[in-house]
Amino acid sequence: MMDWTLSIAILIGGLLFSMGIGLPVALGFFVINVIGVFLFMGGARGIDQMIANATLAVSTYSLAPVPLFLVMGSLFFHSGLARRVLDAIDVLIGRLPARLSYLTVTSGTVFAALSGSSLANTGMLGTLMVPEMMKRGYKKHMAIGPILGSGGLAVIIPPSTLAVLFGSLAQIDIGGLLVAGLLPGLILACLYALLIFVQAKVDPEAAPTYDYEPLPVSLRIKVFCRDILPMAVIILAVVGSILTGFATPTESGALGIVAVALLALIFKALDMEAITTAIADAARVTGMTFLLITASSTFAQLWPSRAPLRAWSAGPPRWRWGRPKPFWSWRSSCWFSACSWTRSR
Amino acid sequence: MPLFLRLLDWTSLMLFRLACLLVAAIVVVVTYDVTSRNLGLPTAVWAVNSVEYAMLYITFLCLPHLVLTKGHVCVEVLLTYLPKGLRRIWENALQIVSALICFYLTWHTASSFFRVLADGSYEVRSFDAPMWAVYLSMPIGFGIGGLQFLSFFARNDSFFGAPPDAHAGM
Repeated sequence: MMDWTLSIAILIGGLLFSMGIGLPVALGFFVINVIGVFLFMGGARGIDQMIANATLAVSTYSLAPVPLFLVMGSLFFHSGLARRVLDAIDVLIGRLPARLSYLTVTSGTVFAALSGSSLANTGMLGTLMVPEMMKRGYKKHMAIGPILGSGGLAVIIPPSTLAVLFGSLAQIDIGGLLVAGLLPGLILACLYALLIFVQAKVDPEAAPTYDYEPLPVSLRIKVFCRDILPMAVIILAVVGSILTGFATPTESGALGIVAVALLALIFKALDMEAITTAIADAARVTGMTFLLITASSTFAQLWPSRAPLRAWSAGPPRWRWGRPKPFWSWRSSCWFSACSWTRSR
Repeated sequence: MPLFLRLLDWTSLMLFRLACLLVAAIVVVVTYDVTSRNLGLPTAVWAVNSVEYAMLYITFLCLPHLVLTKGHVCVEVLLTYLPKGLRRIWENALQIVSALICFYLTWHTASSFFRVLADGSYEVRSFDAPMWAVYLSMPIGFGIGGLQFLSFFARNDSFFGAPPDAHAGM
């Protein structure tokens, strides 16, 4: 029987090695799965079991929000609604030092709540904002920093595709997890804005002020009511429906698509090209993500087969080289034991 | 472009379009499911399981097209530091290894497919799905995906070094 430390070294080390040499991540997982199955699950018979498990990994209804949120986000970007929101926020922000950085953070936060895809969010902000900020003489950290920060907010703020994946894999309440991300996401956005404020104070040259004629307040209110306020329908359809218990996360994804499609229709921005592009984008990202889930969930099933974590947590402390066991090692053993005990309850 | 490459690309594209149709079908089915439940219309008992099987098919039907469009995620840190000549050799080796993995998985998934086809087993959920239908997309996806990895040699191209938007789904 192979020592658990060796099995961990083979599984984790092999995975890191296959990724490190540049093998596509999903295929790297499959390689280690095959090796692991041969070592720990009885060879060729284990491969059949691995394939059977792979079919179950993604045929789980809890993963259904993933393609739905992706279609919703992609339709939001490709129909031109995102551009409309960005232009409206641009008008609303007015004259401020580092206004384009603030615009990026505000738009990123709003897009996060309306799309759920951090990739699309970051891509859109990067494409639209970086050339403009560079043209205005912004330093790189003031241009790219807000994009990377606020682009990633879609991972936290609902509807987060990543939260759905995590909730499904960890088998925890996806609706609760989605809603739990709302406040931390907003706090992060505020902290980004605070950081921009401090940076602009410390180094005004990092984000040079430029001439900007703000619109009258009445016109700004009109822009807000026309271009921003209607987007609340999408947030209501997705987050509101989960919060009130009207819909499950999967159903909220479908409601979100309907809301985006209706808004795009009202703004005369819905055409066949936007729909087909949105679906193709969603299919591409879903295919890529689900293959990773298929491979990684099979990888995860190799662990209980050798019970390395259980051995790690429950096994008696051993120090192979005969030196006294350090305090941090004892603490981590206790922590793992506690986790193991809690999970087994 | 040689005929076999055109045929391979066409097949990959058709499989991808089928996956797109399945994504659209998921949207329609889930929307109908939530609407019918809330409006008291006849509910689709098959909706949940259909969506589950559709997601399985999407995973493997997209695989060849994602290889063709360099859409699978990989860590390219090592590749970026390799000298040009060595990088080319390294990439070629990785493409061969990737193709071999795909073919190995094709072999085993096809074996599973033919075994369940022969014994006529069913998967029992809200409706009975023949097991061969559950396994069908896997050998197709892995098989054509493996061929796509090899096709980069014929195209004098590489799977690696794709622009970021190839992975971003934009």
